[in-house]
Amino acid sequence: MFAVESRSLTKHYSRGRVKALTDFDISVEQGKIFSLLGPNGAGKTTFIKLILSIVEPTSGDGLILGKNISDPSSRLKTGYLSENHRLPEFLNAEQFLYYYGRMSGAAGYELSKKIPELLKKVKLFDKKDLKIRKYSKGMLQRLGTAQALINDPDIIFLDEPTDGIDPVGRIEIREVLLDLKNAGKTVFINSHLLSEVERLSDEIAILKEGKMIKKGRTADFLESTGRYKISVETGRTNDLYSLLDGKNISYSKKDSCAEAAIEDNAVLNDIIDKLRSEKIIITGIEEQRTSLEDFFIKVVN
Amino acid sequence: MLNIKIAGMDSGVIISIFGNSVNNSGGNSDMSPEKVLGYIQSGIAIAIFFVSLFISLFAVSGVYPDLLKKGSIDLILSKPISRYSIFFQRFSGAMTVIAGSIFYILIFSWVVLSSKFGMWNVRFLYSGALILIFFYNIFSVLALLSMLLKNGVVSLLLTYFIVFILSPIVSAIDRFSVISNKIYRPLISSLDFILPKLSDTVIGITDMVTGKDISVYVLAGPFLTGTAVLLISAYIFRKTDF
Repeated sequence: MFAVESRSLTKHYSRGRVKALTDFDISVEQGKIFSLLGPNGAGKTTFIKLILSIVEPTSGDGLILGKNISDPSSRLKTGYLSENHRLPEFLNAEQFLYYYGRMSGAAGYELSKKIPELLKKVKLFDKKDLKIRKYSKGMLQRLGTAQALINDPDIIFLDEPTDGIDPVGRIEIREVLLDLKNAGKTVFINSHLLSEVERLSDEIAILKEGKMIKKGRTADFLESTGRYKISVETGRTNDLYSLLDGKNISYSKKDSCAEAAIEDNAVLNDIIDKLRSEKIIITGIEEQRTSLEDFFIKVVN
Repeated sequence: MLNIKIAGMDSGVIISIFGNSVNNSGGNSDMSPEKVLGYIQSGIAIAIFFVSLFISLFAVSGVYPDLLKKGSIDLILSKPISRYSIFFQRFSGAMTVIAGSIFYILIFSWVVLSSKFGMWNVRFLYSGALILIFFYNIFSVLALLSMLLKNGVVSLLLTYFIVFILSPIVSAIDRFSVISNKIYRPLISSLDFILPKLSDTVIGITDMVTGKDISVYVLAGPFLTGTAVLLISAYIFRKTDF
């Protein structure tokens, strides 16, 4: 059974003049981190809203853990953090989590245990009595994340979870997401931050103008460029350049290293052997892969 | 307006109301103390009706617009609750708070007045049901306007306009047959039938407190139109994309 499935899911507005999403088919396996990428207005948020019945589909349907999305109970084991969430400012973190936890179907006695745990996890336990109106953007995002996890969901939908968060906050949220993945949860992310997605996601789908234009494993998109960055000890860089010249390998010079086009593993091993035989200390060999950003821009354009 | 004068006498208390004197010591009287109490309680019930209507509408004006705010509604709709449940639970929650407040004031006034007069007129408390049914009707109008306009202030002002200005004007036009045109006349009559009528409820409260029979329409009319408007509002909420 898939965590999330959609069948020809379509959402058009203004009598078909605005096509937010068209014939969107997707199957997300359980226990994976899945990311939806695309430029603004590509239909990423629309897809999550359709799956969670925040908007009604024009046609097609979807399933969450095998249950049709039109059935409210399909959302019993889901958590959601929207892009620009607005939390009730007159409550404090504990009250807010209790209120939303009850709405998510969690029992009161479960919440009395779960809320302190979650507040510690998102590092807000010390601020639990502070009114939400006094929270910073980063704190709101972390509290929103805690809200998405309050009912111990199997699938978590996060729309731009690290948007507007400082680097430390991003790392903390990333750690939370990896913990979820390790706990066997399915995480569904919409994000513009491609470096984050590249680090976290198992699978990716790219949307453009409401249609899916690419889908697959993240690793498959990050192809090798056939170039290696070879670094050696300071002062022996010229020896490295001479070696590459001798083998007619094209390269570009960098500080204490060369970025060389080596398409054959045997050639790479031969270079390593030569460097070692001349007692040159290799400080690093790094395969140059296409970044998700490069791939995304290539596909979208 | 009520004009009540109370003067102490050796033989008891003389109350003058609307120029009629009342003597509760058993002497000559134009009005019985029960009637006086009924008028006083009617006045209080009507005052509670107007004040509570005004304040309660203000208090509940944010119930739906706050729910519909972007960022808030998304989170709530993502929970495993049907939209109808969200809508009606919000409505019934607000109604419960308002009912509690109205009956708190009514019961408090009733205890004070009854203990002073030594007569316990339970019908005074029944007027709370009329106030509540009228409020139910108006709140459903406010809910509909909130669904359509998604703005608390504008919806509240429009509701006040409908209740305190439009409805009395339409009612007057209809009752005094100001318009005789064959097309507009039925329209005005229909509108008068649909719109919540303060005057009917005020008369109903007076009749209820003073022990007179009240028309079923005074109870059923606002309840039925309120329910119809509420169902339309709930349907709009169900079908809206957020």
